[in-house]
Amino acid sequence: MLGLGHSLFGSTTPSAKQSEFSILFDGTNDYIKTGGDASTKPTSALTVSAWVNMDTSAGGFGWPNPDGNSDHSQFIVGAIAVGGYGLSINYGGTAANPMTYFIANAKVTDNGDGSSGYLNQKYWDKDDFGPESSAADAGINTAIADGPAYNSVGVTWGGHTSGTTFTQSVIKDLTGFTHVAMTWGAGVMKLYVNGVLKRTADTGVSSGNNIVYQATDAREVMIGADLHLVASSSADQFLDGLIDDVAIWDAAVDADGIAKIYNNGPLGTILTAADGDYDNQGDLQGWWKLNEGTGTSVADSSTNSNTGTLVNGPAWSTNTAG
Amino acid sequence: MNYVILTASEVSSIDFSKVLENSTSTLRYNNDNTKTFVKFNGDTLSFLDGKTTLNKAEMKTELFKEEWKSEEE
Repeated sequence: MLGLGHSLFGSTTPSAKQSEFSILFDGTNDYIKTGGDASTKPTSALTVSAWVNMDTSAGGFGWPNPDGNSDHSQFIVGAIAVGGYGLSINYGGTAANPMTYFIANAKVTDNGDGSSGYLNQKYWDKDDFGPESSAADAGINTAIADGPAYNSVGVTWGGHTSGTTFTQSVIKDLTGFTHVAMTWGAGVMKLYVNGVLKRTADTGVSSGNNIVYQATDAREVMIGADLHLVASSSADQFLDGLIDDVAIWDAAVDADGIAKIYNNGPLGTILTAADGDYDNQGDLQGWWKLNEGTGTSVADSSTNSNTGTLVNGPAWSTNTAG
Repeated sequence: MNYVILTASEVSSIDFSKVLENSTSTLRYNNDNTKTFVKFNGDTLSFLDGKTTLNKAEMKTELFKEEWKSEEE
């Protein structure tokens, strides 16, 4: 079963315990839809923050794919159809080199080459190799390589990385709750893991560079899945594990603010009020504490009241990060 | 958790008060829309008598097959 513990992706355990419940998704067809309001789809600036704990048991995230040859994504927060943004976990690699990525993804007006396209950032950590600001981190058009264990990291720009050379394998090392956040603003995307900035991708286009959504797509931002690429009423890429304390802002929360949110633990920071290094309370667009513990609705504690609805039976869990 | 795969023609027999899926509109289908599935806790449901019941690991194995995989993966 899922267990509370240290994550591979960090060594600091949050100090407070305010969250009593999280939501357990089974990875087959369940998710939370958030109402579809425009407030959940910021354009010029964005932050998404969540806690996630993947199911690494047999039948869970680590279950080997029988087809054995393609990347597999599971969305923490998904709003990608033909455009949009998403925060997900991907897994691939080989049996010898299992790789678990966190991916921040958004289609933006200018992804750095003058055209609209998807801006991806991928962060994989086994022992935190791949120093920040290395050539790989700066790596325009640098694809993730199926390299030796412990050092395959990179940043990919300008489109989906195919990942087709990877083979699936058992994920053994992503256990416990991890805090993950993505920010977008002034043409810069950042990916934080457990309160620490891990990836920065600067398009160099700081003005008028927006997240692009499909003009006709009024579908709802989802928690625990992504929008289905084709079927307008469906979800896709379901997450197998626990999610807690999800929030969306229409501003790029700075590094100090992200660290504050992480260090205070799930629900440890009142996002609607200034709290030390956190001062983005006026930018909060959606905040699903996922702390009701019962029922099929989850309240949005921002001013927008984007009440979420549990779809297809995700379960309440008392397993939380703090 | 128990899972049962159904054909599209069997959807009309689903008692949504007994399964965890919300409604016909939230069912997940395979890529050619010929199969779907439902999940439930506890004993086998009467309207699913005679159907093969899968556990989570077995269901995930099914869903990793090409016929269920997303175009995005």
